[in-house]
Amino acid sequence: MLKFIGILLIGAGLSACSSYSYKVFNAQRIDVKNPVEKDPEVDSLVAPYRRALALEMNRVIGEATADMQVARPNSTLGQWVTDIVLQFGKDSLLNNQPDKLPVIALLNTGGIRASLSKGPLTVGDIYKLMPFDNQLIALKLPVNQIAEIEAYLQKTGGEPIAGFTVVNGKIVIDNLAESSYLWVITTDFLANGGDKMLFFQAATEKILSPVLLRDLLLREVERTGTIDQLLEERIRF
Amino acid sequence: MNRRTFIHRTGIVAAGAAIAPSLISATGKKDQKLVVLHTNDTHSNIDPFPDNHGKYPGMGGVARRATLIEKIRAEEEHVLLLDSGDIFQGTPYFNKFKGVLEMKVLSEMKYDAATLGNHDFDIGLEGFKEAKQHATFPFVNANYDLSGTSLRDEVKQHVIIRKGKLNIGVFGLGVDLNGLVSNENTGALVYMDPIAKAQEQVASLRKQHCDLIICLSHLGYEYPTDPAKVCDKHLAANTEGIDLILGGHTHTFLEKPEIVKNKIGSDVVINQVGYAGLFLGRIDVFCSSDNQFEVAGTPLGVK
Repeated sequence: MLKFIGILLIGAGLSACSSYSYKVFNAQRIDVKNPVEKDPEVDSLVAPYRRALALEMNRVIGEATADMQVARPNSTLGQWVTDIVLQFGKDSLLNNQPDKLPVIALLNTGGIRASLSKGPLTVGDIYKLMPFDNQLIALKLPVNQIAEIEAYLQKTGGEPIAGFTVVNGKIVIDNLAESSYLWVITTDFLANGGDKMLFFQAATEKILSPVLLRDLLLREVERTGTIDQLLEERIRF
Repeated sequence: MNRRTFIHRTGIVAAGAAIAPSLISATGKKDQKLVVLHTNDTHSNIDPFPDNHGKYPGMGGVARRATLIEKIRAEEEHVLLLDSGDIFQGTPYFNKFKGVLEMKVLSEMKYDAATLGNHDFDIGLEGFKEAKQHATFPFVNANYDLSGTSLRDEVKQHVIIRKGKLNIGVFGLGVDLNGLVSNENTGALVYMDPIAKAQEQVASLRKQHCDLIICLSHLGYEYPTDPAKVCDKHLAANTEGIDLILGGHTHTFLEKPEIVKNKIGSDVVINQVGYAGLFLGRIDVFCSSDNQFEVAGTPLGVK
């Protein structure tokens, strides 16, 4: 028996136009799950699309040694993704930069859309993790923006980071002392003001890669085969 | 066994009670029952979650949702099916087929209306327009000025749907896209104050003799860390005339709807059913011209 939760209420004398001034509401949240049968018409509408996708998505490309989730302030999943982004930034986006500035990576917790379960990893798992067609970008920021990043991380409770730490709420970046600028590797979504990371607007240089973050992750899983990420305490308030 | 319960205009304003739906009937000659079914943030979840999913194993899936909807349509005379936005984005179905399958599936289920969520702009205005060619239901939004965009004829501020003797006004409200969607994807869209626009919609829908006013909102239920940000609770409290707000965006799993007093002290029902089509929301609305509803049987308890 489905459970209904009733709400009795009366909308008193709403409008002169309507003759229905009195309303009673009764609500129910229906689980969409077994043993409800699948509607054959909708299922057959989906079937050809599902077949086309399955061919690609069910391909196993690697394995996770543990369940990985994203969480604030630190998480294995957040750190795995951000480490890959940082490495890509150094190797591909900034490999021709002579300036030897510090390089960090910063992403958004909300952008990592699914967890990874222990066991085989498929193309589809990475799609769910990163469904957006976000491109990678390097931004050259004046060091005075570090305080803004610090304040942002304080406010949100932490985001996935790599290449620096937050100790007692303060950002610590190696080799920053003589620099007036640093490079931040992130996504075009965040670089364009996504999730209100407004400090990125202060960028004096931008290098946009045509590579999608999702494709980078797919490539990395295929390359390494096994994901075995240890949790680090990168952020401590 | 049948016991008549009279609900008086004064006395009960909002009492939470558990009553089996079949046990309430509006018995006056002009009285009407409407069943409102709703989803939000389905995010391209065509198939159920995997059986090894940590929290919702095997739940969701459009084919099962369709069965539930059809069963209710077979049992009830007047059913409305609505969605509160973010139909797009979240599974590879979206990446590969660019929203076409979502539109086809919702049309097959005979949705009556939907509003736009921020992710429905993820393939840009043109991408949405392209996918929408496969939709047989209207999209509503009243606080995005689309007049300078290619969606100007694609999205209505509201629709009025007749079910039985009821005129039901359905309008839509969307979240501020600044920071959520790249400027490239929103083009010349202009965001407007949802509360002011909502009040305009109510006035317009009343003028058009609507008996019930439903807002499909993608504003979000509430923002505990940013309490000033406009949300469904603010919308309910700062307007008057909306009966029901069906929300989205914050992926809020409400077990039962929330009731908020509007600015003249009447009750507004707010609901939101998580995301991914894991749940189907059902709200039965009994409309009467007088204050007497018959309740057969005994109410199962008052909270």
